[in-house]
Amino acid sequence: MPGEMTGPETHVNGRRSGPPGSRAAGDPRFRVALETMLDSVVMTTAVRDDDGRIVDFVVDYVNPVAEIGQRRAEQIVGRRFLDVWPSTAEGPLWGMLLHLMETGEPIALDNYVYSEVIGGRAVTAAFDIRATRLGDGFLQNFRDVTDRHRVQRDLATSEKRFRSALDAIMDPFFIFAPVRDDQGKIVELEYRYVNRAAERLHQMPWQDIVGHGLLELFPSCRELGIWDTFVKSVETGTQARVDLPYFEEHGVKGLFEVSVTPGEEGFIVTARDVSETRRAEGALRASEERFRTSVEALKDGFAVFSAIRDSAGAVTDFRYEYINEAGCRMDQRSREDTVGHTLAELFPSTVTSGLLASYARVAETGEPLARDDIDYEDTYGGRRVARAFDIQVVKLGDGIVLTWRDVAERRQAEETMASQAAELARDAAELEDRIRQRTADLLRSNQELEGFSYSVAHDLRAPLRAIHGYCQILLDDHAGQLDEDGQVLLGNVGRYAVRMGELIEGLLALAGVGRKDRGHVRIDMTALAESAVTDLRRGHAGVWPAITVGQLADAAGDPELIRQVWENLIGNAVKFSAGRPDARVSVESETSAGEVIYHVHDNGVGFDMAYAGKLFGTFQRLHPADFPGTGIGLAIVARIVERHGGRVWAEGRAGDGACFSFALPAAPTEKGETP
Amino acid sequence: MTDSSSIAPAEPVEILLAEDEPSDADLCMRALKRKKVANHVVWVKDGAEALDFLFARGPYAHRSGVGPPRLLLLDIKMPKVNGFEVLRQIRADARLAALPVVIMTSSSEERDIAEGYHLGANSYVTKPVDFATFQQAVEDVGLYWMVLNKVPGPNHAS
Repeated sequence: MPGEMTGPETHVNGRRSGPPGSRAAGDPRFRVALETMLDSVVMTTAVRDDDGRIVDFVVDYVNPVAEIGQRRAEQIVGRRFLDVWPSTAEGPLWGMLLHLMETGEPIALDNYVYSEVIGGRAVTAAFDIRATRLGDGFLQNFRDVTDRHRVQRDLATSEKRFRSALDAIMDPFFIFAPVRDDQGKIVELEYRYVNRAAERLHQMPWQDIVGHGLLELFPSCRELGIWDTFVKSVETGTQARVDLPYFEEHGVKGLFEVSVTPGEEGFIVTARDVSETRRAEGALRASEERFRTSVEALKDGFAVFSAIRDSAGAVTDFRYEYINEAGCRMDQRSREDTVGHTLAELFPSTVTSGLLASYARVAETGEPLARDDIDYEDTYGGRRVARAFDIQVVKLGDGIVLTWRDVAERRQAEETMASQAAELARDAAELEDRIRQRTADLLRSNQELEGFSYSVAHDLRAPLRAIHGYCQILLDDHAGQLDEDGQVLLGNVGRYAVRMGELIEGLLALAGVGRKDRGHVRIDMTALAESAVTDLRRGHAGVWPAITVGQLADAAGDPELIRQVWENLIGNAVKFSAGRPDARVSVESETSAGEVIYHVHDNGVGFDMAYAGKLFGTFQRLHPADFPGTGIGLAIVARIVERHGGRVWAEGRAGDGACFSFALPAAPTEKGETP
Repeated sequence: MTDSSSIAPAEPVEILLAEDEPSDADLCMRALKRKKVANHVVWVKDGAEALDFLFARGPYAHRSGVGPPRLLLLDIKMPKVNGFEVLRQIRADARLAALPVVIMTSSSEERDIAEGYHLGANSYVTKPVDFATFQQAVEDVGLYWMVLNKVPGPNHAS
């Protein structure tokens, strides 16, 4: 606008001739001064009406600078002031000019803003104007200050805007100026400006803050370390930042991030409440830390990828965004050499194997992928290596998360386990073999032993028969050649031979227990015991006792062997109670936990319990003188019962009867029988 | 031990006794003679000799045409060929199929008894130690098979 308001410098010289007819310009020196002035100069003469009142002014002279706009001096001089500058009538200047003419009081008007339509365009300019009365007119000297005015105006606007901006911001904002003592030491920091947030923070209006000192308003600032931070910042001219825990009187508690920026006239302090941010940051950090720690602790490889897409939007590759330690170890590549690179670049086989394509499908469809035992061959640590993995892929954002596990270790473990199992099975089989072998050996040696005792017993019988036979023939056919004593002695030889034969029969029977094994069947014990009683009675000479057989529980076993048990026990009871006229034998059973117990009571001679332990031994006899027997019957009973998994025992008192008992495992319930 | 088989003439024999135990054989023959059950008893000491005698071969070839004994008292436990084998061969030959065979043994094993009957023994007698019982048993067997039992004559078997 200045270019339009003031004529170009080049025109100045061309119009040296000056305005014609001008009184003041008559003096050539004065005229030169006016023509070379940078300020515009206008000279006028008042135009008065009939009453002498000024109605306008006639322009007598304008210097070249004043050739405003397109108008030349020739177009201005001689014309009325208000014709040339019509807008003047509307502003304060006109009144001031009239006042000047009346009183002679000079005009000093700065930043006079003048607007006018020139050449069809609205033009605004600002002027500093000085005017003095000159004759019946005035000399007006004016300077275009449009630029300065604009700057000032902008500054004002800017400051206003700035202030409202500062007020608008939520963070407290302060401007401090240091107050120094004689030695230049800062003794106070004076508030120069506070925004509304700062007012709120201080809970005071700015009028109570600005002009006051920080120490004055907040003595605690020294303890909190603010004072030192602020002073240090001012002294060193450096920016500072400090986290300030803020404890408000009214219970507000928070954390401010205070930043100090030294300026020319003081320093600016902003405080930001970062409590929430920090809390959120802390939580985020903690959560990320947790995530990272757990992922790093994984034994499986774990990597996060972002998808790389082609122009059509199809996933073509994946870029490593993160990989955990185990992943690096398995890939034999550091994290630095991995993150930022792509899968196809680092592991080309993912492309050829179609693995990458399956990952791409996960990224595109969101459908997770899990596959076990994938054989994979690629370059690891510079070498071609065939490996096997279990993998899991899930979509994450625009990418995937891949976890993988090298199954070589698992396979190895499985193989080790399998080989251990095989070894164990081999050991077990070997052990079983050995047991079978040992059992067979035992069985064989047992059989050999039984065979041996059987054949010994068998072979012993023939000479015994011969001894007895010849004794008998001697006694029968040659008795006359022996005296009575000789015949008695010969008879004794025969008797002892017979006795020995009985012992051998017993031994054969005992050996036979082991040789006989027809398998176990369910036995009706009542019937069996009664049958044994019947058989015993048939071969019995002498007094037969009263025998009662109760209702006996069934047993499982070899009926022939168990019959022998009954015969031996009942036979013993009959034998040892034979001397009593009221001899009684009773047979009973009872069922207890998992076994059936059978008892044979008699009221015979009984026995001393001191010898109870000897009863079931081979050839053990407690009453050899008074009762017949070989001492092998109870040994056979014990052997049979033990072979059936049972046990035998006896109770008695000398002269007061005996009770022989045996227990057998309870017979299993018969098939088809309802329990 | 009179009628030793080695000197047996080629004449009809009432009882052939196959027994490896000399005392048993002696006692047995004494018992048989005592009650006059049989006068002509031949004793062979093992199964092989018993078969030679019965089939008239080897040392007994001269007995060819004489005919079998009326009764065979057969022990089981014998050297060379045991009693069961002797019994099997007797029953397998038509000429001897009807020969009464009484097993006399120390064994009272049921298995042995069953085997004996299975092979065609006519009777099974356990030799007791007691001589009186033994003598009674031998007498009973002799009496039954020599006196009471009727068998087809030698001419019947051809």
